[in-house]
Amino acid sequence: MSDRCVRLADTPFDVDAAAAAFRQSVPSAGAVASFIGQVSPESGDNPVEALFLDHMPEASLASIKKIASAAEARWPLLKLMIIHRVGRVETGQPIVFVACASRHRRESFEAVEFVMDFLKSDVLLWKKEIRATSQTWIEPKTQDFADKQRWETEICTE
Amino acid sequence: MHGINQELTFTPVNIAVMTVSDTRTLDTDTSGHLLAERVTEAGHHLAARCIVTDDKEKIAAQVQTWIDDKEIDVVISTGGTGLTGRDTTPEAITPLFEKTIEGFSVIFHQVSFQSVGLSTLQSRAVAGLAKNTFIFALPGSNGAVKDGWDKVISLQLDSRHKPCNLVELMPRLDEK
Repeated sequence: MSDRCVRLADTPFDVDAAAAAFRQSVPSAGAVASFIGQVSPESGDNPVEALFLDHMPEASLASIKKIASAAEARWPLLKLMIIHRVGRVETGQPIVFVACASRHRRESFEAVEFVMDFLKSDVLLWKKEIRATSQTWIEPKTQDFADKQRWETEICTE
Repeated sequence: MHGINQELTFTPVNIAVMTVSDTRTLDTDTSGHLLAERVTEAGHHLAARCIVTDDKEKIAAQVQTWIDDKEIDVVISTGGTGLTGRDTTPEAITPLFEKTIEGFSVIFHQVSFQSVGLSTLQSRAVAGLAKNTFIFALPGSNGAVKDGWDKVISLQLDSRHKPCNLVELMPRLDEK
């Protein structure tokens, strides 16, 4: 099993420091790929001010670990890191950080995409969009399910 | 107009949430958690929350306790509505109903069909009324709870929902 660091963060985390520490921890890797997701205001008159991510400490983390395991089983990764914010995340703040290290670039690129595609639709976290005049629980979009389906596998996280 | 009229006043009600499961604990009860979270987030009071095993007598006893509690306006359960041998929530609670709200099952299946297609026929979501308490039984999956709460129950329990809602009926439930 490859080296793994998966955690939930209930306060803002330093995404640049995490990326640097990740890279330095795998000197034998030929490739490191990473992804940062941040809260987007989206367009329109009533922009998103923040997301609230409702979570359950044990179950939410377990669902992320299942996604991590599926990625590790599919690609020969040297190391994998997932940090997911929970609680209130302001617009512009990082909400998720995913990094993979491998001998060759293709594995890392693909594994990061795979993890993100499943985090978007299968993770046990419940997102609420907070706007100036409304608050709405949101669900994965059709595009999110399409992104996930191209991997032709299922991960049961519930 | 159908929907929420923001100019009207929201009236919170007292809601008890019951998870029916042989295996879940408070740490792993995701559908109960998200139901409880959405109940309070909507502005209602979470009057009670518990987990009971798939045992017909235990389910019926818990719901009856809440029906008899004048402080509790609504009971919502999650789980035990499937077709397997251990699924007995409808058998446990429908005998307690004084009135069955057949339309709830119809509407729930319409909404759920949009999410999961024909799989919805494997769940037996039901609702009824007993001693001024509304009782809803939802399936145990997170998706079903979101469909049932977000698209059906939350709107009918919102006093601002027009042209009608269940909250405005509450004072008239024991009319003779």
